[in-house]
Amino acid sequence: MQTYKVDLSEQNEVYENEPQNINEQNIKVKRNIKAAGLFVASLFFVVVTVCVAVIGCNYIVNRNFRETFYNVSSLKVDNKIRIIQISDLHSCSFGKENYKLIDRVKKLKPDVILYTGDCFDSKDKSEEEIVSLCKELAPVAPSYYIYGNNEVERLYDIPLIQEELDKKYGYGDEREPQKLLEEKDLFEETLEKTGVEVLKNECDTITVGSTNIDVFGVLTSNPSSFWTYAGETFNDYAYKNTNNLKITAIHEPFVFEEYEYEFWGDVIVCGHTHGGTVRLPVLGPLYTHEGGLFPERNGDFVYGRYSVSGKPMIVSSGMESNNLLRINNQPELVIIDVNRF
Amino acid sequence: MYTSILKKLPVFVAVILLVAAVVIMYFRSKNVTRSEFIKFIKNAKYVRAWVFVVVFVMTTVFAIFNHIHSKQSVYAVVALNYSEASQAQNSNGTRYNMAEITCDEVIKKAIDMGAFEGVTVSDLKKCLAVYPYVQGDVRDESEYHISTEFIVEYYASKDTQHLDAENVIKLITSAYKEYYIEKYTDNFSLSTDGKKPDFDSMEYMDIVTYFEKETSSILNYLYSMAQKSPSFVTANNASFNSIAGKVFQFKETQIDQNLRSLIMQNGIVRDSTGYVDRLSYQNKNTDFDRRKNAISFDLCNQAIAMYSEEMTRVVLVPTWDEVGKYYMGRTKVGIDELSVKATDFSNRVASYEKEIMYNNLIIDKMNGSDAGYEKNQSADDLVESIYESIRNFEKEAISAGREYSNHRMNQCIAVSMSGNSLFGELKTILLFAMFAYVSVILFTISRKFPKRV
Repeated sequence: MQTYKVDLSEQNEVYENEPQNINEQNIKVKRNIKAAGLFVASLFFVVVTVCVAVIGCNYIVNRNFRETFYNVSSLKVDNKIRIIQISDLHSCSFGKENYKLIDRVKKLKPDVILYTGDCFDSKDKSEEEIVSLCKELAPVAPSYYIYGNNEVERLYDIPLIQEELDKKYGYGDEREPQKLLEEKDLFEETLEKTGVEVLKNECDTITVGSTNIDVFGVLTSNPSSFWTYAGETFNDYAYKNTNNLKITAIHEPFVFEEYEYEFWGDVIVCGHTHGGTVRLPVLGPLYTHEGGLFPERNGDFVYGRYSVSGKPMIVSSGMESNNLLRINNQPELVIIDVNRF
Repeated sequence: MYTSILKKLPVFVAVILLVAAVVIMYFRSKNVTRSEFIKFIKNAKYVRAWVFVVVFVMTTVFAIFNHIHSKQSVYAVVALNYSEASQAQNSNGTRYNMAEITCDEVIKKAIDMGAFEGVTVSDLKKCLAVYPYVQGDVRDESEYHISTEFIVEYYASKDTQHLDAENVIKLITSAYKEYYIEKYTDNFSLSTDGKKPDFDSMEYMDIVTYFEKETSSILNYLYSMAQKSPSFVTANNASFNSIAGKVFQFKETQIDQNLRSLIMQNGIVRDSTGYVDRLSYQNKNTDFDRRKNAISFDLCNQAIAMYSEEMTRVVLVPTWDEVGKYYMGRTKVGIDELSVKATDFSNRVASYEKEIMYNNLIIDKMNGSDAGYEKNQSADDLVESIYESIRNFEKEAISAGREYSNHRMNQCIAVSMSGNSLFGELKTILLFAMFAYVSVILFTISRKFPKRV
C-alpha cells in the first residue's frame, strides 16, 4: 500500500483562503449584475421617457392642424385660383364643431373646396360633424365631396373593386357602370342639401374669374375598377374643353402608381395614406397599409408633391388628429394656389 | 446672418462649457506632477451612471430649446433665371433692386395670402433679411460679383412667433414672384374690352365695326409677338403667325363676308329710320370734309403751276456728316412739299367719296328693309357665334403669349426653401451631448486633483 505525504499546512491555507475568493468573486458578479441591471434600467428609463415624451408632444401638437401651401403653375388660369383640400378627417374635430377649421378656411378665401374622402369613420361614429362642416363651408366656395374607402364601407354593401362590382353590375358587354353612379344614398342627399356636390366618376365645371375649371371626382379609385367604371367619363373630362383647368380629385393615389397615362389632370389631389402615419427623419414615412414598411422607397405616393405625367399631384397627410401613433406628422390643411407663372 | 449666428449659439455655449472645464482642470493640475496627471487620466472612471443622467438631462433641455429655435427660423434662396439678371437688371431692362423682395407691397400680399392674424407689415418686415448669396468685394476688381441669387432669411420675433416660419417664407417668396411678374414682365392684356357688350341694343352694322376692332386688336398683339420671336412654337404646335393667319382668315370670311353681307343683302336693321338718319348726318359731315380737301387739292395744283422753272430743280445744300466731314446734300424744294400735300388731299377726297357711297348703299338697303324675324334671328345667331370665336382666339393668343414668356423667362424666378431639417437638429444635439459629456467628465476628474501639494 502506498502512502502519500501531504503538506496539509499549504492545503489548509488554500482551503482557508477559498471562501474569501469565492466571496470576492460573488461580490464581483453581484456588482456586475447590479451594474448591468442599472444600465438596463437606465436604458429602459431613457427609452420610455423618450417614447412618452415623443408621443405626448405629438399628441399635443396633433390637436391643431398646420397649413401646407403649394404653388402650382398653369397657363390655363388668368387669375390666381386657390384650392383648399380637406382629407381624411375621420370624424375628428378641431375645436367645438370644427370652429377652428371653419374660421381658417373662411379667412384663406378659397375658390374651390375639395373633400377628398374618409371625412368620417366607417365604424360607429356619426357623420353629423362632417355634414355640419360642409354646411358651414358651402357658402364660402363651390365645394365637392369625393368618397373614400370609409364612406364606401359605410354606404355601399361591397368594396368597390372590379370583382365585386362585376357581380352586381354585370360582366363584359352587359356591364352597366352607370347604375353604380346613379345609386343615391342618404348621405349624398344630405350633402347636396348643404350645397356640397358629391362627384362620383363625374365632372363639374365652374367659372372663377375668367377661368373655367373642370373638377373630376373619382368614386372607383381602386386600380382594378378605375378604367372599367370611370374610364369613359374620365376620358371625356380629360379630352374635352382642353382650355379649362382640370382638377382631378381622388381618394387613393394607387391608380397613378399602377397606370401610366398621358394626362391625369392639371392638378391632382389625393389623400388616404395619412402621410405614412409615422414620419422618421431622413427615412421618411414609416408605414402604409398597402405599401408596408418605408413605402416611399418602393416608389409609392405617400405624402407631399409628386409629378404625374408632368403635372403636379398633391397627396395630403390628412387631418386625423386622434391617432396616438401619428408622429412627426401633424394633421394638415392643404392650400393649393394655381398661378399662371 | 442673425439666424446663422443664433443657430450656432447653443453649440457655442457647449464649447464654452468645455473650455471652462479645461481651464479649471489646468489650474488644479498645477498641484500634481505630469506623471500623476497621466495616472489620474488613465485611472479615471469614464462610464458613470450619474454622468449619463446629467448629460441626458442637459441634452434634453438643449434639444427642446434647439427645436423651438429651429422652428422659428428658416431661409430661402431666390434665383433670377432670366438673361438680364447677370447685368443686375430686371427682365424689362430696368435696374434690379433686391430690397423689393421684402418691400411693403410684397409683405402685405404675403399676409393676405396666408391670412396671417395679428401681424402687421412692419412686424413681419423686422423679421426678414435679404442679402446676396455670394458677396463680392468692391475693393478688388477681380472680386466684383453681380449676384443673381439672394437669400431671404426669416427669424420669428415675439410678435410673429405664432406663425409657421416655413409658411411665412414660402408666401413671401411667392408674393414676390407675383409682384415681380406683374411689374416687370410682359403684359398680356389685349386692348380688347373683355366685357360682353349688349348686342341687343346695338345696330348690326355697329356690331360688325365692333368685331373688326376686336379682331384687329388681337392681330396687332399677335404680330407684335411674332416680331419678337418669329420661330416660337407653342406646345400645340402653333406659332404667333399661324394664329394670326387663322384670326385674319376668320375676319375676312366670318365678319366681312358672312355677317356684313347677310346684313347688307337683307337690310337687317333694328331701327331703320334712326339708323338711316344717323348715316345721312354722317354723310353730310363727310361731304363737308370731302369738299374742303378737294379745294385744298385745287389750291396746291394752282400753286405748283405758279412756280418758276428754277425753283423746281434739286437744291444742293452744304452740310456735314456724323464725323464732321462736309458734303453737299440734296434737299427738297417748295414744290415737293406742295405735290406731296396735293397727293394727300386727293387720297382723302377719294376715301371720303368711298365712305359716302358705302353709306348711301346701306341707306338704300335699309330704307326698303322688310327683313323679318327669321333674318334677324339668323343674324343674332351669327353674332353670338362670332363673338364666341373671337373670345377663343383671344384666349389662344394670350395663352401663346404666356407660353412664350415662360419659355423666355425660364419661370423668371426660382425659389428653394432651406429649413432646419430634423437630421440637422439631431446632428447638433449629438454634438452638444458629446461636448457635455467631455465637460462633465473633465470636471469629475479635476475634482480628484489634490488642492495643495
